[in-house]
Amino acid sequence: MADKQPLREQVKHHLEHPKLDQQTTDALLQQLQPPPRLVQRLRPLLASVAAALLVFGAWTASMYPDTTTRHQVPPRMVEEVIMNHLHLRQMEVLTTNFDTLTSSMEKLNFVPVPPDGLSPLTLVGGRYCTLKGVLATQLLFESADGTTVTMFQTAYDPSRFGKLPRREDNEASVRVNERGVQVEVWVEQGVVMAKAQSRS
Amino acid sequence: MTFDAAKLNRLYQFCLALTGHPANAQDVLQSAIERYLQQRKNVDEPMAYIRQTARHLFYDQLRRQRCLRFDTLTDPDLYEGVEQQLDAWLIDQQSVAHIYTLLTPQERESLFLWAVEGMTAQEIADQLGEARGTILSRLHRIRQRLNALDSDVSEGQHHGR
Repeated sequence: MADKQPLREQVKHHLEHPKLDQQTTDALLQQLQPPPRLVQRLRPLLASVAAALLVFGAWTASMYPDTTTRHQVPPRMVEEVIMNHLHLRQMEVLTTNFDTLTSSMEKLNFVPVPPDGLSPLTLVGGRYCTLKGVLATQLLFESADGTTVTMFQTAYDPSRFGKLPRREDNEASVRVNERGVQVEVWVEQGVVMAKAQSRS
Repeated sequence: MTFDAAKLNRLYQFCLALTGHPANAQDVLQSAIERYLQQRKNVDEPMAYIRQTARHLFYDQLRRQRCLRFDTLTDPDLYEGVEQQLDAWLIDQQSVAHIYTLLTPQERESLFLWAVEGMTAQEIADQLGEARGTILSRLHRIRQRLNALDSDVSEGQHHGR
């Protein structure tokens, strides 16, 4: 059976494959060369702008002593997590054993991480899903009082997910509350973790 | 902005997404770049300008050939959630190549902006100067084609093809 991956990745791969031949590329780049006089005129202006940006950036950084405020979760990711939590689909793997779940989810390009601080919760199972267009896993946990907690995991790519707090650096996770669901996001062992819990 | 091979290829890939044909894509790209060079001093965002010029040139071509199909007006609320549905869709490479041959130029263009440029429906609408509902409708038609393809494959497997 052909290997299935998220649509966005497959389309990207398909559309980014064709390239111009070298001769055409060189000819077009030659045409697009900026006129020398313009470049020379801009150079001192660009240098001044770069210096001003550096000063502004340093001043802005000093206004934010708390590093967690610099972390932002992409809005679409929060939306995906909430929708998958509220419209819970059937788990593809049913098990209370994390090692069994890990070995069953062969399509993932990362190893699911048993998250810290979840000991009062019991693993129920897991399923494949996507997060921001990449293959991920949704894990279902249950507490003693029957509360459902879902956790999403996927390999961390800063260019896709932006800067997220790292558990290993003792950075506090980002919390978002929307539509009665509390979403908590952090990175642990190179894996993006997004925990969703309905607020009582 | 300095152009390099990567940016040129990204523009070429957009033109190819529009035209569906390598030779036509190169022609459209060349013409768009020539127009840009004439207006260069007044252009703030060259990549967006060249993309926009390329699409105008291509759709003018289609109008002259009377090949342009217009989207019907739709209520954007009808297709809310279609972006999330496409985000969650799993597919193999062969099916992507096949689906792509079935799409209209407008659908190919929207799919390119959604997948390669990572734009939302609103951002695509802003980029193309169209209503968000129109973009959602296009994405919905793409999803319908994906559904139909899945049904064909399942039917084939069921009949032991």
